[in-house]
Amino acid sequence: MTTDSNIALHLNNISVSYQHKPVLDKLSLTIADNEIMCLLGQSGSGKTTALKSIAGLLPLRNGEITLNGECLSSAKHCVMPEQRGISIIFQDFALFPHMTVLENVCFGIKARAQVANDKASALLALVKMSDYKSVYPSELSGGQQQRVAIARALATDPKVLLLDEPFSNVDHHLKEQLMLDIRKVLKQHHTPAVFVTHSKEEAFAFADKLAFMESGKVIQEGIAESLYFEPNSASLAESMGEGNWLEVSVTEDKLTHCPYLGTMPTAVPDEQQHSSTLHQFIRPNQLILEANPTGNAEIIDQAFNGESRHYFVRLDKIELRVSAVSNTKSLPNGALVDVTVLPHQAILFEST
Amino acid sequence: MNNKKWLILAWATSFCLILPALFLLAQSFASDTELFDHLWATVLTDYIVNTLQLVSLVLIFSVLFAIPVAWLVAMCDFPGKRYFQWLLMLPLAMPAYVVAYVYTDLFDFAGPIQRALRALFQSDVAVGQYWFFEIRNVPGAAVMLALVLYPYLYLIARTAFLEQGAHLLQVSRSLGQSPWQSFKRVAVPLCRPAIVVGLVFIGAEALGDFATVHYFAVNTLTTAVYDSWLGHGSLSAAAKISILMLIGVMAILAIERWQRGRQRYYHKYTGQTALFRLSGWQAQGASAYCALLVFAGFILPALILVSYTIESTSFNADSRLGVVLLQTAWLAILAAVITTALAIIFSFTNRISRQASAALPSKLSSMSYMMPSTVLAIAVLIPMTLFEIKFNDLWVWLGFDAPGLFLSGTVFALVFAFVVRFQAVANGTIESSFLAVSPSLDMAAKSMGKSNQQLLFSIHIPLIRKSIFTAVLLVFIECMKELPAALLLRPFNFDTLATYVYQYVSDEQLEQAAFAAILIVLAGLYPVVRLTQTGERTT
Repeated sequence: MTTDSNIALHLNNISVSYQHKPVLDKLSLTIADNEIMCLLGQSGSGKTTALKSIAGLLPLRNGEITLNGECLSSAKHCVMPEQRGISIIFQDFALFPHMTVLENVCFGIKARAQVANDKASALLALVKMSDYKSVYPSELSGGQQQRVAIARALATDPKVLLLDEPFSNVDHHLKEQLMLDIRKVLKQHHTPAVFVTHSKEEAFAFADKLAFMESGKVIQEGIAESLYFEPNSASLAESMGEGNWLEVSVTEDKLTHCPYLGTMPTAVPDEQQHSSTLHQFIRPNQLILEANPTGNAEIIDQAFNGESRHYFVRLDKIELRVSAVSNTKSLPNGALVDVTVLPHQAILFEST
Repeated sequence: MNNKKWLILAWATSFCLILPALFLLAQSFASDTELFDHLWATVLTDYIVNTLQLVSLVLIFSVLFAIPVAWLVAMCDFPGKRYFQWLLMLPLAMPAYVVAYVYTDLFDFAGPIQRALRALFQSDVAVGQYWFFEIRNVPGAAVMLALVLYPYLYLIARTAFLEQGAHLLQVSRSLGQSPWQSFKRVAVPLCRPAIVVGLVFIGAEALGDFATVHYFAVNTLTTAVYDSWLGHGSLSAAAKISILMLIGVMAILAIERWQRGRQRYYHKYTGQTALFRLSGWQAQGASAYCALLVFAGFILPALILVSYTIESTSFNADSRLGVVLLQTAWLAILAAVITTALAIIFSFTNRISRQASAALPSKLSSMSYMMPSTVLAIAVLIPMTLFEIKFNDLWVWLGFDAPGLFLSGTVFALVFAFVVRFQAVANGTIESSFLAVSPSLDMAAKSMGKSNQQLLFSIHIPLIRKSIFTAVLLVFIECMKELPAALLLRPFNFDTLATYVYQYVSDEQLEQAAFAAILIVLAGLYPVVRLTQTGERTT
């Protein structure tokens, strides 16, 4: 939990325009000490703009950014990027191609050459790149470049580290290990970080907390589970993973009822119990299929993706997506089935 | 013709084009060194010092002119930036000897500036009784050359700054470096290969310049080449001096390559927006510096040329201008058509051949572009005169009259030199247009049983016809403007537009040829417009 005493970075109602177009609109966010915050959202939602504003690369139109209580940016005041103590890592890593790995890491260290070398060597050891000190960036793989970029960013002992889509240029099979390694390094250094991505998998694996952005605003902020199970907007619900939309009503027992699935064991939150018609979002793994020759639903198609199997099921006038773990016996297309809803807290939105 | 025949044709023509360079190298080791030894013992050391001074100063001034404006236009927002990014290229169209003439006229004792100053202070002082800077010296010549050559460096540096992208500089600043430190430690070192290529090109142009230094009476190695060949008829001495100049160009390139080592400059971005928005005195200063360069390198000389043309009525009476224009035009058209046809052969062969070496003919034939044109002219003469001597001997032995200088004494030499010099221009244009044609079109045509010739004439040429026209036009204009090679190789009593204008410049009567000079400038404007449209140029 973030309290006033451990807030490292605070964005207070910031607005930013880019080429005369408003990009951030009264955005507020707090990042605690040693916390990794993820800005999640679609392209154009303002994530990178927020990051650049924190780094001091874009001016604010309104609002204020403070770091450990000190004002970094406001509409009238702006601390230069080089004086903020905030390091940034871009999607392309932006390693200086005319410098070796060691020179890249030493670049920002303000100390005697030997001291700088020792510090850079220690950081390269931390990111497992000690054997590549005299190598140029063009001779490294994407994952190795990423590790060097982390070491270089940490070399200046930043008060906050900013990462702009840092894993999008890394091979899929390396990504998971790299995320774990970098997370470990950040925690060891007690460096708070703001991390931008549009991938929920990366956000879940890397961040402590998530802020979902849309149209320059934070729509919802919290831990991964709260965004996944209790999204406060339809777009966030869909961003967290695919699902089925059903038109439902609230029963006297405070459950939801749909004409095709009957009354479902999904509890309605208190604030929505008085609504007449609602839209319910049910994820494919919240439904189960059971083969039944007299069942009222039919499997029309299916797709295997390794860990699970996706079934496309026709139930009267609607189509549902249902997922099942892949090691269970598969059902053939055309098979008749019963569809059952697992008990869970309903994700409901007012009809528009 | 099958692939092998195309390959043989490409290699054979490219060999012809590099023949002058090979002969130049061989001739420099020839035993006829009497004149060279004499020059070495007397004036050559002074000429080398002058040349080094001139080239160094041209490079320094070019850096001072080009790098700040390239950085401003690539990375900053300031008033007029949109216009300055192409206005700054205009001086490319202005021949250096014309600029030298108009500035000498402007700053001479009898020129309007000194007259106005005398009128302002004392009206009756004579020459030498007061100090005023001298323009007819090595620094003066260097400024004149840099004023028209800096756009090459500006273009290449601007592109390099843009390709670096903003991220590297933003990271540098987030690592505690100020904008100036980021410029010094990141932007400039990353641009170094591009800057060196630009400087080598400018250095080669400055080395090969004859007109400006001759007008300013500054003796350089180029002067020595002209004297050796035109004054003393010693091709060997001219070749030896030319080799000295060539070694200078190669040395700069080699040093840069060696220093770069294993570093690779892969960062390439496009479509970036300005990193720094200038305001107040910084914005005004940026606009003023750009405006000053455009004014000094183009607007002022152009205005003076127009005023010469209006004031002078004698150009109407010079019936020679029409003849000169016509013979320059057909010469340039001939060279342009041959160059473009060869470029098509090189690119087409490279496309249909599966061998990696098929790209070499084009690359080899482009190498002469870095050679100062004075050196190139001497290099062209060597194989020709050798061939003529042998041919004349054979003809006499067979009992006929010797045909004489049927190659080096005719326009053939000039056309050949133009082709060798400007092959790279045509190669660049045609190669890029071939790249834009999808390889699947070739496969489709081949699968329908079409031969190589049918593929070239019915698919490729119709698709790249606009680029063919552009290549012909670009080479045509370069040929119209080319002076040093034309001065050395023109047949007796034969003038091109450039030699015609230069004749008046050296006789201190440019006013009489101002209209012809304007024609050269107008012709030179076309490539500038093209550059503006494409956004960049490879040198």
